[in-house]
Amino acid sequence: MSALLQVAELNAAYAATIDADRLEAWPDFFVESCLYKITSADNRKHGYSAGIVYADSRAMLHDRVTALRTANIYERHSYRHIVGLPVIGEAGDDGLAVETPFLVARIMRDGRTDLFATGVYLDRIRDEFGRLRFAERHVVCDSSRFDTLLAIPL
Amino acid sequence: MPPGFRVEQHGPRQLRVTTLHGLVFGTFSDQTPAIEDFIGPEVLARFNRILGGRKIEIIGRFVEVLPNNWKMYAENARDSYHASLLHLFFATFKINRLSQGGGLVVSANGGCSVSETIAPTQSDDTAYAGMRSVDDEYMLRDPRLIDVVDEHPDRVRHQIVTVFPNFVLQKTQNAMALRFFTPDGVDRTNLEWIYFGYADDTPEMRQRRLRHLNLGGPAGFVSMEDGCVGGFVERGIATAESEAAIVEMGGAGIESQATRATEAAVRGFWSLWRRMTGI
Repeated sequence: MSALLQVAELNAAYAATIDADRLEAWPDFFVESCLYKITSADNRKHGYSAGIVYADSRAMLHDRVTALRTANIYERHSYRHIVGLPVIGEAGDDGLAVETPFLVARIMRDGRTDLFATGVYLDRIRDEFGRLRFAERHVVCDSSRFDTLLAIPL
Repeated sequence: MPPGFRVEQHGPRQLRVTTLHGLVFGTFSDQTPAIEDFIGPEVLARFNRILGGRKIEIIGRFVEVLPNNWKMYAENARDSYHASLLHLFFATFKINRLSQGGGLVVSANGGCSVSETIAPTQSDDTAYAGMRSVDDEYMLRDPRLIDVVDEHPDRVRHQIVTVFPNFVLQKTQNAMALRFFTPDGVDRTNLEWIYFGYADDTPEMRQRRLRHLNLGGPAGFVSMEDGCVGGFVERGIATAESEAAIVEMGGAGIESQATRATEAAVRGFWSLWRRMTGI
């Protein structure tokens, strides 16, 4: 299978896992010492290193899921990710560079559906014993504005 | 134009500006005192704690769009009591407890405040551990989220400074943020988050700040509820326009108190707002 198809399959599985609320399986898409960050194009342009979510280990992703399930309070909602075709970049020591556009709709419990976020995933993808995983996933949103709150990961 | 027209008589409204540790504050009023007098010595001391003699560096800027009136958020930032009830992250992961020390300072004009949480001493912590069963289910898998380094000669772990009407300076563990909020209509508020570090941060400290910032902002473990709760309250009270409930938590005044279980800063905000608007 070509790299394009393999990465498209990985992205599809990632999106389906979040959208079907199988969040406990979400950290498994990352290597153990990963970097997952949600930021914006503007922040990236200015070289700002902070994200609204910043996890530099898979354990932190697990902690986020536990917090969402047990501690945090928010109105019930779900996402629908529409993930575009990946652009495959160069393969280096830190993995395969990939860029994939995304669009996420947010569906509130009363049925209201809004366009919540658009942007691009800037990834470093590694093959770990035959399974592709994200060594880095920078979620670069086109806008720096977030409506109400961000609980479920992008 | 009539012959008497003078362009210099038709400029935009003059904004008086001043700076405090590099932060620019502005007012349209001739009556507003100097910023140091407006916030008072105790609030000024907390500005000095975080910003005094330090060069800061912006490390992130985001906007959180709140589905509520701006004054609801002004209350939120001053309501030192709601955190223990609404933000359950620390309690769930047994990181702190409700009886943790702290207090609330309100400026003489009512409009500015400081809410502080003080880390327990080692002996307090040990005594507490013996009284409570340890539940492994809710332990952080990556405790670096809370590996605090004391940067100031105190044990303050969480500090929220407010300046009337719409400014907040925050330090939580080693994460620091400026917030300001502006109305975008009656029922929408843009809450701007400016994350910062010190220019001379070591790479380790900067990385720590990035991790600790997970506690704040639109996706923050102890702040995301603030994004939705104002909307909940406004939806809840919409059907009760003629009803009233008065709690008077922490009394009816606006004086500083050695507890966070008080609404003194909320009352302070409204008392200054009423004086300024004449309502």
